[in-house]
Amino acid sequence: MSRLKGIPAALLLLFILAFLALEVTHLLKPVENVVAQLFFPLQRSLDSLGERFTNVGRHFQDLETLRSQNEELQKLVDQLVIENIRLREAEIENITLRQQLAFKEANPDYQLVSAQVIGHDPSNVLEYITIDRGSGDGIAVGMPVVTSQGLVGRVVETYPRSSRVLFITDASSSVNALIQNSRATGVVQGKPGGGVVMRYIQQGEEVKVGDLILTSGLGGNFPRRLVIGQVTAVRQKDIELFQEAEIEPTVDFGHLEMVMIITDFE
Amino acid sequence: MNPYAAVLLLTSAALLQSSLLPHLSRGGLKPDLVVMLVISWGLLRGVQEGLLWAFIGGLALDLLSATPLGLSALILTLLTLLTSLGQKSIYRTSILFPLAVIFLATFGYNLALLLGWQLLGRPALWGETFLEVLLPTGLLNTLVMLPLYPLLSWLHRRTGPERVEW
Repeated sequence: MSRLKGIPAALLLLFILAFLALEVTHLLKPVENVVAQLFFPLQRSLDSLGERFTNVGRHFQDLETLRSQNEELQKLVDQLVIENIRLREAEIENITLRQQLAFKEANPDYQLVSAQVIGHDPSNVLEYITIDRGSGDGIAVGMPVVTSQGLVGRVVETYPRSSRVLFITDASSSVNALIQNSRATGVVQGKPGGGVVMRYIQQGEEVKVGDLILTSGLGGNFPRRLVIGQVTAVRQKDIELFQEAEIEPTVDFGHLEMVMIITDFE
Repeated sequence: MNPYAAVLLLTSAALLQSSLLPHLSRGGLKPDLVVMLVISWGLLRGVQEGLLWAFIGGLALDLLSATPLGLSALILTLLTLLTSLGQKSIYRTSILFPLAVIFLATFGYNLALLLGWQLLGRPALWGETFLEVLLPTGLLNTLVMLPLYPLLSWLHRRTGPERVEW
């Protein structure tokens, strides 16, 4: 550097002018070519490195964008999941209401009130449910409770806005019934564990597995022709006065959500 | 444990037993959650707190059940008096002891409930009820007790014994 200080400015200018003159006359081209050949790989590497730096920066930016997009999408997914559940519930309710409507249309003589099951009896030895309709809705003790599948039971207790329903599967429940094919009558009683059995069927009456059991209407507590269930086994002994039939109820008592109360029937 | 917390816990358990558990039950049987809580707490804490829990839990069950108000409370109180004696037992640290107690206590609870219900005029089919309900329910409760008792033991250690004021 100390030597360069001694070089006069005029000499430097002379050099520059000489270079420019050589450049204009293309005499420096071979030198330029050599220099370009030498610098090209270096330039390319440096340029690539710069690009990578730019990409890293962009990645960080993208990451931030993706993160916020991900959060928004997650919120959207959550909303859609909730909406989906709600729609699925609405669909199930719709199916149940359609079935209830079909039942109502098939039984125009019945006055029906729809109700939702709001609780089961906490005990395992009693078969009761609580529904969300009570005396304030015109519900009274003794009214039959059904679903479109068949007979559920009857109202045994009412409160202003709820009622208690005794299932036909409870041991204290008795329903006068008949076998659809043979017209043989008997009494359907509940039994522990949630099943029902038809008792007091006269000996000699024909009872077959698969026979449909309906309410007989005797006694006037239940309307006629409500479906109770199907015969799954027959117990017949000659030494006994009556036959018995095990019944599979048509109603799924474990998954009851909506029921109908027959407030009036002919 | 604070009596108000006991009211909250046992009422929630009774509601759970009458609303959610029937949907999860298999074969129509559900665990007697409130009875298990009351009896276990009596074993862990002794007769004084056990009786309070029995009264609260029994009333909560009666309010949600078709049983006459007070029947479950009475049965649970008597059962707690009996089973709380087990608190002094040298075997109470073993999980087998509460399991056996719960089997007998829930069996006894349902049996007494049925007996009380029959005295009030309801028909009872003893043979079938024994095989179809009492025995399976006792076994189900014993199974549920396996994870429940350690949880209650933890709660017992966390809360510590407290003077019960009526």
